[in-house]
Parts: sequence; C-alpha cells; structure tokens
Amino acid sequence: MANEAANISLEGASAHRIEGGIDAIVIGAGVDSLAAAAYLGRAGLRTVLAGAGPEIGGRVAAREIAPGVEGIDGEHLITVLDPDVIADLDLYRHGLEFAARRLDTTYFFERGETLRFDGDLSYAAYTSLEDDDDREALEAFMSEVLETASFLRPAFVPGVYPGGDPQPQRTLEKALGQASPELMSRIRYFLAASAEDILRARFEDPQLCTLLLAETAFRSAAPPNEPFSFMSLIRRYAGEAAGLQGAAAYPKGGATAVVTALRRAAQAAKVDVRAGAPVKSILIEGDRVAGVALEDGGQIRAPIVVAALDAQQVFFDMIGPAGIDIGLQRALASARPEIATARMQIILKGVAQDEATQNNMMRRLLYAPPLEAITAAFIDARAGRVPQRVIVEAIFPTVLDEGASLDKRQVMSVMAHPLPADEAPDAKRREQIRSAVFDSIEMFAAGFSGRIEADDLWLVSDEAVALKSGIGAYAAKPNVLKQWALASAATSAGEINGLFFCGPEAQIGPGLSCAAGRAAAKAALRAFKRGAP
Amino acid sequence: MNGQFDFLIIGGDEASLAAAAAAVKAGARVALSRPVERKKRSPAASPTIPNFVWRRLELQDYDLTVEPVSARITLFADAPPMTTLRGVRETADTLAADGINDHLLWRDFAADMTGLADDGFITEAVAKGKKANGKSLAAMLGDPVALDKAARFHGSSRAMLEDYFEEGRLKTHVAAHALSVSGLGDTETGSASALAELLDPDAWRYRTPKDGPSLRAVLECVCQDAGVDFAPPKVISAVVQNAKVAVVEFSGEEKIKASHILFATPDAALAAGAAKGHGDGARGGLGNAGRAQFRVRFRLAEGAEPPAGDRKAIFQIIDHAADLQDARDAAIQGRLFDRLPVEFEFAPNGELLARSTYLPAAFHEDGEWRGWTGQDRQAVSSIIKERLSSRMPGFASLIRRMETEVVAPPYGASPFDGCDRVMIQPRRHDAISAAVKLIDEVMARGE
Repeated sequence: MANEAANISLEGASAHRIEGGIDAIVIGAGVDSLAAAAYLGRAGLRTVLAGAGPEIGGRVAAREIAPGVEGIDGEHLITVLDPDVIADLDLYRHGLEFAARRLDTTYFFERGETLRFDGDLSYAAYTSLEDDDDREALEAFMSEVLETASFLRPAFVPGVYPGGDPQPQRTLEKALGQASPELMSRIRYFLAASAEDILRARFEDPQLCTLLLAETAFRSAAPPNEPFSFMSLIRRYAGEAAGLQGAAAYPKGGATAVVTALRRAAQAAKVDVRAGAPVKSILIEGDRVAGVALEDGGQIRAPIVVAALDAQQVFFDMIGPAGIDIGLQRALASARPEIATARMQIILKGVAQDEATQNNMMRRLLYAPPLEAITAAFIDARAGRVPQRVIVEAIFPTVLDEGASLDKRQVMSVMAHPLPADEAPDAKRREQIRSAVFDSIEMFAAGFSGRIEADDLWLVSDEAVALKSGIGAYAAKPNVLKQWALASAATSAGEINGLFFCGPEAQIGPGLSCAAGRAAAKAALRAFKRGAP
Repeated sequence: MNGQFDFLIIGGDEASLAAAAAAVKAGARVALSRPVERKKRSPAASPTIPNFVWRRLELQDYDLTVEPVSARITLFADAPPMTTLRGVRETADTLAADGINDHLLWRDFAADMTGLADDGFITEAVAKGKKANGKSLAAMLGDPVALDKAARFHGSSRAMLEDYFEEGRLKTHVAAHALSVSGLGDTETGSASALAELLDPDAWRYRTPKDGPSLRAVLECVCQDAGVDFAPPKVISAVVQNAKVAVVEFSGEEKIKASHILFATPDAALAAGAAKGHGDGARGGLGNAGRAQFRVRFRLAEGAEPPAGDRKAIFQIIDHAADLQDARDAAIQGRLFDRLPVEFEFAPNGELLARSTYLPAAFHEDGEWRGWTGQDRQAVSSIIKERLSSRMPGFASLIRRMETEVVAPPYGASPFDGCDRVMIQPRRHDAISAAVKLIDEVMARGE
C-alpha cells in the first residue's frame, strides 16, 4: 500500500512539473522532426524531441503485415531524400546504407509491351530505345527536365519563417536569379502548361508519352490535363537517391533504416528523444512561443518550438484558431483532399522461374495505363469513385534486400494511384480498392493473383488513424502552386515568433525528404542566435 | 502576293481584325488571312473595344454604334432565373431585390477579381511575363500573400466563389457565364481566372444595331485604311526558316515570310488545324485541347418570346451546379453530355444563336478516337433544341430554319506542325483587348 501511495504522489508531482533550461522543443516523431532535432542538437542547443506515440518514425513504420512478416508503411523507396541532410547529419556513418541503388524501371503498358529505363535517367534514352527519333527526343527532354529540376531545387524547400528572417529569400533570389532567359521561359512553360500538353508536344511515340505521363501523375492530385501539373515530375526529378539525380534506391532494411539513422544522428547530437510524450498545446506568450504543455500536465519551456505534425493538429488543436491568421485558416480549410495513393504489401508464394521475371524483380516496376485511362482515373477518383485502372509502382523488398528475404515467398510492395481520398472507407470500399489494384497489377503480372498468400492494404485513412491526424495532410499533394501557397502559409506560422513548422504541409511533393525539417531547423538556429544574449 | 511581315494574323473575327489594325497602326507590317465566308450573317455580341484600342484605331471616324448587352441571365431547371448586370452597383441592387444576401459581397467580389486580374506581378511571375526572371519567381515564392493570390487566381472557380457567396444559384450563374467561353469545368485548375476576366469591364459584350454596320465590317474598313495586306484564306504549310521567320504558303502557291503567326481566337486556329485536340500530337493547346465549340443559328417564327422578356441579354441554360465539371469531364473523355450547358442570345436580326463549348474535340469509342461526323452534329443539335425547349416551352414549333457549325480540330496532319512561330490566344472574355495587348507585348520584346 505504501508503494502505491508513493506512485500516486510521484505522478502528481510530474503533473505539475515545469521543465526549464531547454533551448528547443521538437514536436513529432517523424523523419522531419528527427532531422530538425539533430540539426539543433549539433549546433549545441539543448533539444527535446517530444513524440506522441511509443514508436519513433511517424508515418514510416514497420508493422507485421502477416504472421512473421514485417512490412514497412509510409514509403518504400528513396527518391527525394535531401542530400544536405545526409551529408550534414552524417547519415552514412549513422548506419544508412543502400541495398539497391540506381534502380532501373521497367514500364508495362496496356497491351503487354514493356520498356526499360536505366536508373540513370540521362542514359535512359540509350538503353531502351531503338528508334533514332525517339531516342533523340527522350535524350533532349531528359536533359532539359533534369537541368530545370536541379535548378529549381531551392524552390522546393520552404523559405518563409516568422521573424522576418531575410536569408532564405536572399539565397533563393541568388539561386533563381542566375536563370538565363531561355531557362526562365522554359520554367514558365513547365510551370503553367499541363503535363499532357507538354508531353504530347514532345513525343510522337505514344509509349514514351504514356510512361512519362504516368510518372508525372503518380502520387500527385493534379490531373495531368490541368495547368501546373507537369511540375510534379520536375519536383520528383529534382530529388536524388544515393547521389544520383532523379534516381530511386532501396535502403538496407527499408525506409525505416532512414529513421534509425536519423535517430542515431539525433542521439549523437545529444537530443533528448522522448517517445511517449504527447504534446497537448503550444504555449504562446505575447507574439512568441514559450514552450509546450504536455498531455500529462507538465510543461517544457523553451524559446524555440519546431512543430513537425500536420498543420491541423499544430495550428488548430495545439494553438487554436484564435491564435493564427486568417490567411492560414483559409489555406488549411480550402485544402480539401480529393485524391490519395494507396499502399499495398502482398506476400506471394513461390519464387520466380524465368530469368526475365527474376531480372524484373530487381527493378522498379511501373504500370502505365493508357492516357485515356489515366484521365478517367482522375475524374473518377475526384468524384469519389474507385477507378478501373490505376498507376501502380511495385518493388520486391525481399529481392532487393538480402536481409529481408523470405523462404520461398516474396513480398511485393505496391503504391497505387489515383484513388479517392476517403475519410472512413467501409469494408466494401476497401474491397473495391483492393480489386482495382489487383486488376491493374494483373495487367503486367498475369496470373499473379493465384500466388497471393496474404495482402495488406494501407489507405490514407489508416495512416491518419495511426498518426491521429486528419487525412488531409497525407493525401496526395495538389499542384505545385497550391503547395507553395499552403507551405508558405504554414511555415510563416501566423507570425508567431520562435515557432518553426515542418509538418507534411511544408513539404513540396511526396516522398521521404527531410528538407522541410532541415530548413525549419536552420531558420530556428538563426532566430536563436539573434535572440541569444 | 509576296513579302515579309512582322505578323500573319489568321482569322476573320473581331479580335483578329482589331489586332491586325492595331499592329499596323503601331508600325508593324501585317498580313491578314480570313476564312472564306459564304454569306454575311447577323453577328453574335462581341467583347468590348476598350478605350485604348478605340483611340488607336480612331474609331470615332467611322460610323460605328455599339450598345451593351442588357444582362447576363441564367435559366435553371427548377429554380427562378438569376440576373447580373454590367454595373457592379446595379448588380448588387438586383441581387438585393431578389432577396439574396450575397448582394453585400458582390462589390467586394468584383473589386477583388479586377484586382487579381490587374496584378501583373502574379501573371508575370507565373504565366507569361515579359520581364519575368528568376528573381520575380523567387520574390513570389518568398511572399505568402502573393502566393495565396496566385494560387487562388490560378485555382478553381468553385473554390473562389465559395470564398464569397452562399447562394448556390448565384455561384452557378457566375461560374456558367464565366466558363461558357472557355469550356472549362468549375473545379478545374485555372478556371478561377475566368472569373477575373468576366468581371473585367473590357469583357462585357456589345452589339451593333440591326441597321448599322457591324463591328466586323467597320474593323475590316479600318484594316483596309490602315494598310493591312490581305492574304489568301487557306494556309498550306508553315515552315520555320532561320529560327525567327516562318515561310507560309497559301493555296494558289502564294508565299510570304512572317515573324509571328497569331491566332487571336482558338476558333481560327482550330479551323486552320493549328490547335489540335485529341488525335495526334496536340499542340499549342494551352487551355484549348480537348474541346470543340458547337453553334446553332435558329431562324424563328414571328412572335417568339425571349425568356424573361429580355431580347438583349445573354442567357445560360444549366441544371445543376456540378454540370459544368461533368460536361467538361465528358468532353475530355470524348463523350457527349446530355445536360449540356448552353449559352444563347438573340442576334440583331432576331435569329437565336445558341452555342456550347462543352463538346469533345474528338470522340472516343471502343478504344479509338474519331473525328466529328454528321450523326454527331445531329445528336448535338437535338440536345441543344431540347435544352432550349426546356426553358422556352413550344420553342421547337417556332423553328423555321437552323444552321449548325462545329469548331473542332480537323483530323490529320496540320500545316503548322513543327512551326514554333505560332501564338494561339485561348478563348477569352476580353478577346479584343487581350489580342491587342499580346501584339503590343510581342512588339515591345522587339523580336
């Protein structure tokens, strides 16, 4: 009995504890929070990372998808992981390693044709095409797109933070100001025109047009026939994987390996990583943050708060609508999600018999439905219907990563797009989505359904439940102009000094990036130095 | 006819003629190629001639009378019609008289829309821009207010209207009138800019009286007086020579050289095969690919009564708010849409002119694309007749004669394939003003 009484009094004590002497608090346990915390810790700030759940990793998390088989939610490839984060935080030294880099892509088309692209896009034209005109067209296109994408890279990192910090703007102006008039007119064209217009004008060959349209539309909520839609391809090709622009790589241990490396980097930087410490509200005093209040009643006080949860939670739940400006409120309210990507992990019985299949299992596979089917899919998904055909990206982690291999079974990891962004899909809806994904996979892997041992469908609504957020933040991103508007509204954070936002709305484009976390931490450091005695 | 020109302007509509005359007056050498017209017809209302064009063309010296369209009216399936007027205050008063609370916001809406359209910063950093460089893009990216404006202006018309209004009929009315010109859907990216265009004072439409000269006839005189060269009607080929000049060959083996080929409206471009829809290699299709415009001219029996008793308005027929987007989706997919949004008006000679831009450029059937056939024209004519009858009981029995016209891209190779000297202006409310501004912009660039 005495022990029990002691416990109660201890809990009571913690409920009123106010912790001081902290320089920065990072809210959230995803990759951007870990990266931001590591940056702050390395700069010598006493940093606490307060994550809500018991697990660190956020949306990138391992989960048992069938008895004895673990799958990874969130992301299955590295395509846009910020190279500065890898270098600054020494992620390779902290254990990041690639099991497969420079993944080739095999494209599958409606009538069973295939086309292979080299993992290095600047060589794609040489390895896959026989017709000279097509080769020339693709080579010219890729060099223009890769050049434009790498030039625009700074534009895909948020740069507006509270406190009137002029540096990101200066850096951006310097970078973009170097554009030649030709490059600038190309950028304007790529920005404002639709993907369909651009690609149809460039390629006589319907396959090239179709596959590039599928790449552009994949994971984007912008229908490819609408203005500003082409930029999603530019955003994707602005990224790099394992040091190669526009490439895709598979990390040893899957995407959670990035989480592990980031966590090690954060701990090496003396960040106090607290997993089960949900934040209840952000404390605002006057026009600046003062710290956070925890769910258990305690408080941590600090002049810097970096928030890496979704904007809805940060601004409405933790600050409250009264504390944020009308522009941000409107931006958040108008960002109604319509389209989402589904994740599916499928366990297949048996091993590949023929060599072609074996080779393909070591690549990234992309099913590119015909143009008309992609158009129809976007119209259906936006109207809340499950499309007949969807774009499917598939990889085999058990083949790419020796450490993940299973006995006489394979895991196929799939992303399918576009699908309606359902708030709470019922069983019937899930079944519709499941069979739409299967039908699209059948288009390139005939007879695969017969080998399914188990499958696991992970929708945006599942992700939202796991992260206790709305579906908005994790649905597919709209066109780049809307993303820029939303990101800058969110990162300027209603001009609350000391608050730095790097949640999913701050990131331009999908994928595991950490660029928003890096930018927020850098801005926080400058603010801290300005404010430091 | 031989020679070298700064502009070859193709098209016989008011915007093309005004652009040709304005270019000559500004010192350019201009050739104008107009399609052959079988006979003169009573014209539809045209966009305003803004003051700067009026002055440049010295239209006061010509016997031109124009009168504004009386109102924009939308006829719903089972709700009272909705009316807006040219003046902002008059519209607000009309809305108030209709008991619509949104009248309080109409003025703000109109002011904001004209403000957005005038904000060169946004359009220049994002869309066209003569001065735009990397710095102006960077400046926009660093300015959340500018980005918010840009995203709204280039966003969807539905989101924009929901920012201002409650009344569903008003939202549908404004969207229908704004988008009928371009045939866009109201949730489509970029459709919001049509709202800004619609509210632009240069976008209100005007007619010339029945007994006076038509605007087109006057502009033709202006072109002649100013010294525009008239080229033959049909282009056979356009080939780029030394990157800056296109050699254009007409039927009859005549050839000219032109630095720029301008289509002031997509109709002319479609007719000439320069802007393709689905089929092969859609080119120059910004805001244009994937749709056709269908027009029907009805000669009616005496005593045909206009809806709401107003013979001088422009009318829209629409059933549901979602129809604009559904019709647009159908057009993109190459299908006909039954509840077709239809715009109509009465020409000065009493004919009823009906049109819809929510039609496919080509049809998609059994996995194949095909061009328009006589059957398609009949099918669309009867849809349009039904739509008109639904709003004007007994309409069908008043029809004495009807003529149809479809503006869709022809099938097959285009004479403009590979020619990058071509500019096509999308379908706009302020077509005349925009065409002249485009000419000025190109001349200012000094290419």
